[in-house]
Amino acid sequence: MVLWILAKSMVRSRLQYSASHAVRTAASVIFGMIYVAIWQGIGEQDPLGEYGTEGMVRYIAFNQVILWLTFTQYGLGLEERVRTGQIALDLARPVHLFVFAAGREAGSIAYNAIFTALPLFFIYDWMFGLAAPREPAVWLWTAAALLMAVYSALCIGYGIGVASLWTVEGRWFHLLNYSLNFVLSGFLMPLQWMPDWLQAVACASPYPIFHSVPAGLYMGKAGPDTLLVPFLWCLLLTAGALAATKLVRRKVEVQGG
Amino acid sequence: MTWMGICWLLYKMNVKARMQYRLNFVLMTMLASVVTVAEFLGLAVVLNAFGSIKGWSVWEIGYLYGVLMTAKYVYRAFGSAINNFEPYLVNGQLDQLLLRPMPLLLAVITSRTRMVGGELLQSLTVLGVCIARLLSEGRVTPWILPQTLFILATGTVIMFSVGLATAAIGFWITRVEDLSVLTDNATTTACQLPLSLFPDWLRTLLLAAIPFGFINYVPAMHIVKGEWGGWTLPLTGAVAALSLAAALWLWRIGVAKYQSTGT
Amino acid sequence: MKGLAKTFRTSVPREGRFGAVRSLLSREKRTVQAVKRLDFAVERGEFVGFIGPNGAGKSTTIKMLCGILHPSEGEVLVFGRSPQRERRPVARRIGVVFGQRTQLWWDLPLKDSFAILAAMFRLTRSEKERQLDRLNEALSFRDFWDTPVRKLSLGQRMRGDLAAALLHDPELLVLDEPTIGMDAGAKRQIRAHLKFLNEHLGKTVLLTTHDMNDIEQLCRRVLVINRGELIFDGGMAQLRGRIGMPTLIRVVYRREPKLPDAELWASQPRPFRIAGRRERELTVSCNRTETRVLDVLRALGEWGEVDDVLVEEPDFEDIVHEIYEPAK
Repeated sequence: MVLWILAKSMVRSRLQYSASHAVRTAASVIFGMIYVAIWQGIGEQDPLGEYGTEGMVRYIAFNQVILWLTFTQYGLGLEERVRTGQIALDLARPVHLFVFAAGREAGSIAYNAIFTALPLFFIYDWMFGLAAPREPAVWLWTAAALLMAVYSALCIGYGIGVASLWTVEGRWFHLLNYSLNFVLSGFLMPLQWMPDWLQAVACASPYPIFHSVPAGLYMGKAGPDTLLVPFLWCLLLTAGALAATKLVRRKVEVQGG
Repeated sequence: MTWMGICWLLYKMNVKARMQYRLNFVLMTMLASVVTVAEFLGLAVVLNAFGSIKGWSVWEIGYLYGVLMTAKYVYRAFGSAINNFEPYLVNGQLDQLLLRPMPLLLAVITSRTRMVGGELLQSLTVLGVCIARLLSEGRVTPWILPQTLFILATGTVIMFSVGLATAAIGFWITRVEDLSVLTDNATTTACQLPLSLFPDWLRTLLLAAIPFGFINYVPAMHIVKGEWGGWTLPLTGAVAALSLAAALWLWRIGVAKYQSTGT
Repeated sequence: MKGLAKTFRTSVPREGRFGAVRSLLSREKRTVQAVKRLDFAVERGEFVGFIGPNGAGKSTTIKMLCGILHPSEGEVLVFGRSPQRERRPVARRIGVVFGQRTQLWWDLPLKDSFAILAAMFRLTRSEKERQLDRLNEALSFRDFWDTPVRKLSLGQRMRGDLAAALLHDPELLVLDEPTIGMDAGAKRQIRAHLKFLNEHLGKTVLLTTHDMNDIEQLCRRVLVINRGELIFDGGMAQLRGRIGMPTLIRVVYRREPKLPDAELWASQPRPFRIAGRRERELTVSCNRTETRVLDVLRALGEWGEVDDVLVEEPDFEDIVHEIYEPAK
């Protein structure tokens, strides 16, 4: 299957840069510790509601682990293909551009899962105790949530890549995406503790898919019914990605003349 | 023309080149402001929900944040080439700069300019609001103003020094972008908060190895908290001077080690 | 040494540069000796070609010459000064063009690049204007100097780059593949400009290129470098003589020729050898320093009635290739 081959080749190419990856993983460990330290500090003076200090540490550490599953490169690498003109060839392939770009990126994410998320999980488990859930159902729901999170991240990354056809500063969309994610996904703090207006904004955006939903399931604070919203977003984003491809086709045809 | 004059000319030319893509420039400035505000919001929301962390009020932490981010963006304004040094090593851009009859560091710094108006405005606003609040609560005296100016200067020097040292390490390892995630991004994220939150080893690291702690936390312990004596300010100045000297020394050795990307 | 200021000596003797090249693809570290032992001197006013296959150490040598790289051993002297220890004074006296990159400001008009460089080299207004007038005569860039550099053609950009490198009136011009990627017309133009700079403005030129036409048409002296060592230093004629002139002669016979069998062939040595054979067509190569084409044709005529003859002069590139890889 094309998707499998694309993903595998990406994993292989990522394997070649193991030294720089190790540095990134080390940085990630430290980032997670900084966020954990915030909650440990707050926990000294506040009982932290239904989570408690330990629960919040778990919440933050788990989010830092899964952060790497939804971490896509800028525009799924489409920007570079646009700049080098490779995009015209990509469009001529019998594989849909979205499948092509997403397949490659999926390989990259698989790499991140094995070589960053997994080590991070064990490191944090050793440092803070992540108290892995025992019920298989919880694992199953969490995995489903994560899959949808990965898929949504691919769709959004694809949209950003497509945007780079129209502006050379597309990188800022990428940064914008990450800072919105940072605030609205519940990465740093459970959504229900946010001020109402921000909660409303967050719930209207797809970002809770990335952290709030999977972390809620993993911690046993939410049930499988919370998977419905991510599922709807996946459908919506897929439609968006297909529409974006149509736009790309038209744009490249115009330019290529 | 003096070196200052030439730097000014180069700066103007960089801006002029940027303005060639006016629409992109406007878009970029707007998005950059949204990005910085969003990042601040992430932290502010947590602080707002709980009021204080380990005896540091929201306003005091806002002061830490404001000082750190102002120093960061002043550094980024003139040192964005240092901060993004990897392409210079990889694409052979440095070769061209070495052909100029100017001191290399000056040539590197003037080769790229980043417009940080939006970001600077945001961090100065946070800083201003927090200082005003602290003044009105009577927690600090107006002395905070000159003192803050002083630590903004030393903080920028420390930022620059760490950036320069990271870039200089690139002469040996070439791929410094990942390294700067550790020396710049992680440290910046940590120092937005009081260092007392962190485990000993991280605190030691941020005071002794990568002295970002001296940008805001150490002087703020005197200026805002009044817990440490006046010695913190001269010490901060000394740390800034020392880091700059060390970074320049490392840079000098690195340049001699430079291996251009050749055929 | 008479008038040291006039001669410029380059010598990189003994063990050259050790480049611990960090391979990007693996973490294995290798020590690469890009330049092993290089000794040469270039006199003022010369036009010297510096050639060699990829990875021979050309760029490394040039970069040491300009003060970009520090030699691990040995010394480079430009106008009696070390470009490493005195990088800035030397930079004022040499002009450098790297064909693969531009030193012009990409998004700004050419004019602005000149303004910046003039300030950087501290030219007065009148010096700058005078120099621009002179350079415009040689490179005629005024009609496109209001256009942003990114919109210039490769040939125009190179003229701009040359003018930028010459703005501070350096005595030595170092060119690293100035014609790379250009079409034949643009190349011809750049060559004419370079010739003018050398002959009329008296610039000393050191040129590296992969285009042998550049060398043939411009350089009176050629340095060939391979694996970090100088393997040839001399004039063009000498270079040709050194490896002979493998001329190819292609003969088409009316009918399939009758070639002598191997035994006879061995007993009767001829001044040519058969390079290829296809039905009625026979290709032989001979060395024209040893034999004349007419003699070869006469010998070929013994094997059948000749219908058509094509004589191919040796490709200069092939000659040089033969120097690079004498073993093959």
